Amino acid sequence: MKRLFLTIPMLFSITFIAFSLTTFIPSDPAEVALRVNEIIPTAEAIEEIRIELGMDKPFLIRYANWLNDLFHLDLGNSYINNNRTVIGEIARSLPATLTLAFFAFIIVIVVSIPIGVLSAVYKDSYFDKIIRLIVFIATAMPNYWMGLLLMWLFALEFKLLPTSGATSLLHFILPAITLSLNFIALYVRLIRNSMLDKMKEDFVFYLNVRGIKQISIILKHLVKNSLQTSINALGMSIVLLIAGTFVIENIFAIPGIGRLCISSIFNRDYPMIQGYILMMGFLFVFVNLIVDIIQVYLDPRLKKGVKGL
Amino acid sequence: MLLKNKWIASSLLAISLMLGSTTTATGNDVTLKNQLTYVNYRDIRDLNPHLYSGELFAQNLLFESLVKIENDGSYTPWLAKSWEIKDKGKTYVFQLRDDVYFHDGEKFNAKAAKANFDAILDNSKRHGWLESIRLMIEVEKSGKKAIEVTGEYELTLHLASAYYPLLTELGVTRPFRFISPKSFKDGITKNGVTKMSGTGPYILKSNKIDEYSVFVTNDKYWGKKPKIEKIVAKVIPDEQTRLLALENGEIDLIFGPNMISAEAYNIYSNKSGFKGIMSEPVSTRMLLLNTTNHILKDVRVRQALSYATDKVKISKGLFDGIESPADTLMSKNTPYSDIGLKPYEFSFEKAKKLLDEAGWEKVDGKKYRQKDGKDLEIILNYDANKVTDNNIAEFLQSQYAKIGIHLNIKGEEEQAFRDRQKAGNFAITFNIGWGIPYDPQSFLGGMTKPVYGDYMAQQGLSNKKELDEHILAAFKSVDEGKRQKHYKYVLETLHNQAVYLPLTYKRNRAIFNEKVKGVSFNISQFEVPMEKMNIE
Repeated sequence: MKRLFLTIPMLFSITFIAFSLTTFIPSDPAEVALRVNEIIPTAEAIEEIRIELGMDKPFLIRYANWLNDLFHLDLGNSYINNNRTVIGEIARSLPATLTLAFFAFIIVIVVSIPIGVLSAVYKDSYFDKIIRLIVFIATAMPNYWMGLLLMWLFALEFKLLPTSGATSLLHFILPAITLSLNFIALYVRLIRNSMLDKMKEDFVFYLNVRGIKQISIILKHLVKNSLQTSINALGMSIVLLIAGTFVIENIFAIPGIGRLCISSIFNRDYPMIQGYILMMGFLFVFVNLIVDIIQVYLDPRLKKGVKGL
Repeated sequence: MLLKNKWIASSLLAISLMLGSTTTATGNDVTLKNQLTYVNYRDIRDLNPHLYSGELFAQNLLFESLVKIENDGSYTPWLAKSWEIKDKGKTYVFQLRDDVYFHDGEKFNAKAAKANFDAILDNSKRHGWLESIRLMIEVEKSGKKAIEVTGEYELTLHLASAYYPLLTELGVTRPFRFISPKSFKDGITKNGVTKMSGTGPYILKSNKIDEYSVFVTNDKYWGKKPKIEKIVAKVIPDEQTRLLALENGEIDLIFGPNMISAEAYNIYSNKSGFKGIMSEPVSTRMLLLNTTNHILKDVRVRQALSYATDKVKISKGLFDGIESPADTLMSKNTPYSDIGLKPYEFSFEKAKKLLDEAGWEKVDGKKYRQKDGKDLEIILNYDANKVTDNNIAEFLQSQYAKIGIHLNIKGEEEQAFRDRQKAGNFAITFNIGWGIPYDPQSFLGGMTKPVYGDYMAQQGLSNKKELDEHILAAFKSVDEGKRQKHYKYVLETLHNQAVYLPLTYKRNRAIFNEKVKGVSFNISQFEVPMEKMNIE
C-alpha cells in the first residue's frame, strides 16, 4: 500500500518536469511556434501566439490549467501539425513501437535464457568463451551499425527481407533482432552470473547429495531461482525496449514513438516532447510498480520485509 | 492433446498472417508497370497549399497555379490561358481556362480563384516574405478590392504599386495554388482544409502517416496525362537506408540536394543499373560579414577574407566537386545577375597586402596579426547540427591562420544560432540563398527587412539606404533596362563591399534506377517533375 501511495508524488513530479520544460528552455516557445511554421516572428505575432498558448499567465496557473487538461486527456496540439493532437499522435505511433518491442522481448527471452543457462552449466568451456566474446561484441557494437549490417546482409545479399518500412510483420524481423541484441548480451551475463551464484548455495549441494538428476536440478531449481532475480531487470527492460527504439525506428523507417520523439525534438515541437516525456515517465513508474507486485507475489518474504519497514 | 493442437493452430495462423502480408511488403497493393516509388525523408504532412507545412513535391502534384515558370525563367499559361498587365504594372487581368475541374468535381472559375486569393489574404501575416501580398493588402486597406471577378473566367488583381516578380510569386508552389473552395473550413483555409482537392494531374489516394503516400493519375485532368500512373512516396529518414532500399529495388528515385550526399551521388551515378543527374547551380552557400563589427567594418579586412578563401579547395575537398566554387553572390544563371563582376581570385598575397594596409600587421613572436596591441580575432558562428558548415568553418580556420587571422569558430544550437543571426549579434555567420526562381528578388527583398540577418549585417554600409531604395525600385520598375540597372547597383555594391563571401553553388541532384526515364529538374529545386517521368 505504501508503495502504491509513493507513486502519486512520483507521477506529479513527472508532470512538473514535463511542464517546466517549456519554461526553462533557452528559446521562447511562442517564437518557436511561429518559426516552425515559417512565420516571420514579428513582435505582434509573438504577442498574439503568447496569448493563444496562454503564456501570458503566471507559471503556476499555467501548470494548473495544463494539469486540468491532462486529467481530461488533452495535451494540446502539435506545433508542426496543428490539426493533430498530441494524444492522437502518441496513439498513432505506439502500436508500431509496441509490435517492435514485443518481438524484441520474445527474442530476448527465447535466446538469452538458454544461452545464459548453458554458459553457466558449461562454465569456462569453449562454448562459454565464444558466448562471452559474442556478448562483448554485441554490447560494444552500436545499434546503428548493427542495423545497417543486418539490412545489407538479409535484404541486399540474401534477398530474404525488406530493408525498411512497417507494412507487414516481416518488416519487423530485422529491427527486432537489432533492438534485442544489446538486451540479449545483458541477460546472458545476468542469468549466467545468477546461475553461478545459485550453484554455490547449499540447497544445490543437498539436491546433488540426494542423487537428483543434474538436468532436473538445473531446470527445476536453478533456472527458476535465478530467473527470479532477473525479473526486476526484465520488467524494466520492457520500458527500455520501448524507449530505446529511437535509432532503430529511424534506420528501419518504422513510424513509431521513437521517431515521433526524434522528429519532435528536431522540429522543436514542445507539446509533443512534453507528451513523450510524460508517457515514458508514467510507463516507468507503472511497470516498476507491477514488477514489485509480481516479485512480492513470487517471493512472499519480500512482503514481510515491506511490513517490517 | 488439445493444448498441442492449439499450439499448432496458432503457429499456423501466425505463419499465414506473416506470409499473407508479404504481398504488401513494399507498401503497394497492386504493382503497376508504370509505377514510380519515390522516397522522402519525412511524411507529406499537411498539404494545404496556402500554408507552409506540407512537402512541396506532393503539393506540386496536386495543386496548380495561374502561370508556370519555365526553366529559362519565362512564364507560360497554366490555369490562366492568357493575361494582360495594365495600369503601369499595377493591374493584372487573367483569362482562366474554362475546362478545369477540381478533384472533387467542383468547377474551377474566377469565383473559385478569388475564394483562394481571399483565403490567402485573410492569413496575410503568414506570408510576410511575399511582397505581392503586402501590395494587395495595401489596396484592401485603401478601401478598394485587390481581387475581382470580372467575368466567369476572368480574374483581375490590383497591386498598390507595380511589382514585376508578381508572376514568379504566383508561379511558385505556395501559397498561390488552387484548392477546391468546397474543402475550405468556414470559408477560409488558415485553420486547415477538409480534403486535398486541387486541379493537378495527380490525386492523393491515401496517406499512411510516416510510412507512405499514394498518388494516382487524375482521370479528368484537363491537360496532358502523365505517363506514371501511380506514385508511391515512401518515408525513409536515414540516408544509408534510402541507398540500400534503392539498391534493393524497393525505391526508384532519390531526389534533392539534402537527400543525397556528394559521396553517395558519386557512387550511384557510376554504378551499373543506376543513373545520376545534376542541375545547374540553384542557390549560393555563403558567409555573411557584419559591417558593424569593430574589425569587419573596414572594407579592406572583408576583402582580404574574400581573397584568402580557397573556394576551389572547398568545392573539391568538402563537396567532391558536387558543389561548384562560387565567385559571386548570385550565380550567373540567376536572372539579372550576369553583370560581369570581377571575382576575388584566391590569393594570400593580396589578402596580406590588404590586411597590412588596414593596419593589421605581423608582429614578431606573435601568431596572429595585431593592431593597437590586439589580436586579429574574428568569431564565426554556425549551426552545430550542420556538419557541412562545421567542416567549412574548420577549413577556413586553418587557412586564415596561415596569414595571421584568428578565426574563432563557435557552433551552437539551431535556435540560438537563428536568434543571434536575426539580432545581428555576429561577426561572420553562414547564410544560404533562396534559390531560383526566388532569387534574386526574394533574397534581396529580405535585405530590406529588419527580421533578416542580412539587414543587420549591412547597417555599417554608408549607402545602406540607397541599397534598399534600389532594391524596391527594381521591384517597382516596369522597364526591363531600368530594373537591370537597379539590380546591377545592388549586386555590384555588395560585391565590392565584400559583405557576402560566396563559397559554393548548391546544385540539385537525383540518383535513380535506370528504368526510370525522363528525370529532369524544374527551375525550382523544391519541385520534383514526376509528371515528366516514365518507366521502361
